[in-house]
Amino acid sequence: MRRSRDFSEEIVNIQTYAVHHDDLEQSLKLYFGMGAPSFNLRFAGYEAAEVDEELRARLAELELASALTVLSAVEAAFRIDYLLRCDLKKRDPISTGFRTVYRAKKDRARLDDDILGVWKAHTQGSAKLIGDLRGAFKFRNWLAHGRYLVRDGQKYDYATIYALAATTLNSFPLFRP
Amino acid sequence: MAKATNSDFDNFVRRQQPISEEERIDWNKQRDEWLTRLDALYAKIQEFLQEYVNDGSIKLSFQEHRIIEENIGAYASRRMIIHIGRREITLTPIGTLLIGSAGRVDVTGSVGRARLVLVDKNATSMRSMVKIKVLMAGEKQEPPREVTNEVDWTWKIVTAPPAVAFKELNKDSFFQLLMEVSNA
Repeated sequence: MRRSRDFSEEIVNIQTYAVHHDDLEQSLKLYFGMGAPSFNLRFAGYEAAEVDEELRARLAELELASALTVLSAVEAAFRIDYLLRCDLKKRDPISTGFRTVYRAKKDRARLDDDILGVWKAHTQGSAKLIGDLRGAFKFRNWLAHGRYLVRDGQKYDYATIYALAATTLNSFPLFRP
Repeated sequence: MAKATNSDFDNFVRRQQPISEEERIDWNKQRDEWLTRLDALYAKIQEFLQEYVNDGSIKLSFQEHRIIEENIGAYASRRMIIHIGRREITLTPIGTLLIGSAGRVDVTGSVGRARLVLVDKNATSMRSMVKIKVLMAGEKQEPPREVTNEVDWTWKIVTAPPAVAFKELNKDSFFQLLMEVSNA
């Protein structure tokens, strides 16, 4: 594929990442389990319920970190597709829509308004998924900006974000390097 | 009387058009249907656990739980608590306006969490529910198909990533889920 720029080789593959997440989750459960070699030293003076509580907190934090990583991978996929379609000068409506955006904004196109906006305008069946993605990216921004505002509800968790990401990457015909 | 311009008339005509799809949604009805299906889930779980409840080895209780959702606002629901000896497993309803499902309940045990979702009986995964087509130049978007009551909503278990598939909720799969969230 002809292209005028190089992309990083550090892009996250979400399936590989899911295995990484699972490894971390299982490791935490083992570490917080009574069979762990360091258990007696690490949790000396704890009640069983306190150990469980601390494990739940670690798992919840891991979920947030993983949701952030997975959503970043989705953003990368859309941005790479945007740049490739601009470079390749194809005549489909998505590519021509992106070139119009590119003339004004170059590499600084906004994911929400510019990139997802073009996808929404020129596809059938994407509106609900794009609406869900926009909501998920607000959640991503909340995470990335330090979680300083109160968040209502528990709508977004790692499993939901992963399912959304996998569905997105599987359903949109995104160009890949 | 001031003379109306074409632009004023255009705006007037536009305002008289049928309201958008989103505005026509009856949010209260959607909330009530979700709460009815939540009760049906609890009834099903009580049925799964009946023999253990009868012999006193498992106890069930409920707590009021407040949910806040965009468009619907705040409303009351119930959280179910399953007491197995000293362990507690809580079923917390999350809401109905969710990604890829019409309802979700999180099952939280001492060390783990699993999810029950309300989806079309025929859906095997979230991916199976989405089909996107790129329109050709000049091709118009069709209006979104309305979700009708014909959808056979069913509670299913969501498996962990990377598979994220919808698994049938039955007595065996529910018992397995309870053991997983309890690290048993």
